[in-house]
Amino acid sequence: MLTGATGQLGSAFIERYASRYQIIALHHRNEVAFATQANAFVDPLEPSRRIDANDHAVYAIRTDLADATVVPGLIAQIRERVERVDLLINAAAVRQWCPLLAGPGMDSVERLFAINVLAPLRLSVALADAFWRADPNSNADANRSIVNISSTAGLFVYPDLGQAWYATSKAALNHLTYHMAAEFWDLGIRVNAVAPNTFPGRTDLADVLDAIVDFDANTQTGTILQLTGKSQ
Amino acid sequence: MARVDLKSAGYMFDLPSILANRAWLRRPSPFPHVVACNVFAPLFYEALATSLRRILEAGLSESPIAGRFSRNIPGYDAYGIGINDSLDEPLTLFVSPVWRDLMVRLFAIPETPYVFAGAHHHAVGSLSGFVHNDFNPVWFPRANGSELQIPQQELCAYKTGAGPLSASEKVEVVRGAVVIFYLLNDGWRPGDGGETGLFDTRSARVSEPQARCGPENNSLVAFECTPESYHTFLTNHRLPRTSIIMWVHRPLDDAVAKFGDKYLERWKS
Repeated sequence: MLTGATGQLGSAFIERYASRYQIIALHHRNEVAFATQANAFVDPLEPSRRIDANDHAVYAIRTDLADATVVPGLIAQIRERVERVDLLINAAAVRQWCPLLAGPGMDSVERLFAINVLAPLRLSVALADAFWRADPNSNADANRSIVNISSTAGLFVYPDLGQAWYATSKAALNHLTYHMAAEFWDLGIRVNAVAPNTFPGRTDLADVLDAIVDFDANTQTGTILQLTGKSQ
Repeated sequence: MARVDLKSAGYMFDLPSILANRAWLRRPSPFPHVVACNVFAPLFYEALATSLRRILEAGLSESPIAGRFSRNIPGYDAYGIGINDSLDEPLTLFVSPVWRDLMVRLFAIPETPYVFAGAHHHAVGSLSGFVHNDFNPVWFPRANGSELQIPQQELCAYKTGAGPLSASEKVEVVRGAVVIFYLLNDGWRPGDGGETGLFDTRSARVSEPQARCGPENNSLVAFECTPESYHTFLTNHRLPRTSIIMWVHRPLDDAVAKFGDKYLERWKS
């Protein structure tokens, strides 16, 4: 299950890994740029030609994760679709940089924290209730986990970039990751975070994708992986 | 920037060679449409961009001037230029048989020789358009056999058919499918506006489209023109927006048989 499925990271994850994972793609404003239960690739020169990517269509759900009230319905929709969730990637983020004293109103800040901090928490707890709480041993056997997409902005202070709100939300996500790792341990669910520098740019997008699937494959928990990328 | 010699590169209008992406995405909502990114091979995209940039660099005109982006679309906050044989070859792809064939096959509409292509440029802060469907009847000089025919305003006005041609020398057809190809929009990012908004009803608020197609370089949106293909340009806040637009046309009787005469969007005089 992937949030932020239409962002750069989400789109790249789907494009690269749709054949490896059966993906539930949560998105809000934009459309998923891949085959879904409704959308299909077509060859413009041979419209009837079969395209392999259509065999790996993701299941797209449009939802606003800033709204806590959508979670029960969302979970119900997912339960109708799948019997288990092996990996939750919390990639949705509001990346708003602006000075504290000249920025947008508090409504916009509340949305930023709702998406960047509260949504990963709410979804994780809701998935635990719906899928993971009943049988911790099977979670451990299946090596199930959560990967939060954080940022080096949550680890270091980059001054004069207007990152106060964004960076604070990512710092909170990092700390939340540690606490979730501790509390989800008894459920057999691992929790880690990837903290890249700006991507693409200072950090390669491919490195972020690799980090996610590495976390999925290995046995770590409570790890914040820094991807600082090119020196500044 | 140096002009790209496409002929020496062996790329001229050989679509399997110049198309970089053969997996376009067909989406059903809010009405059936196709989107694609990284449409052309980099060399061909750069040739298109170079050709259109050269025209843009000649400046924008507030009144219609041949060969310049001009305010020639009443009620639409954009500068336009028609694509015809006088323009550089990369641009004439959009009035070529291979591109016409691609469009009619993609949307399974009857083939006619009637095509229309142009480029639009929206300066920063251009007003949003109005929600419309492009299901319009239009006029062309009657084609010579299977040769493609583009509008010739002085012989046969595109919207009304007015002009010196006799009834047998002109033909009324209906816009069958449209493609909007985005280029020269370096640095565009979500939030900048300038998208093509897609809507499920004519009465939808322009600011609340059901889908937005961002003008990322070398991407496109295309759809069959039907009574329900509601769309429009959305105001651009930060950057100009440039695009190429092209229509293929279907026979009038086919449009009437498929959708009904009452749905034809006759031009307001």
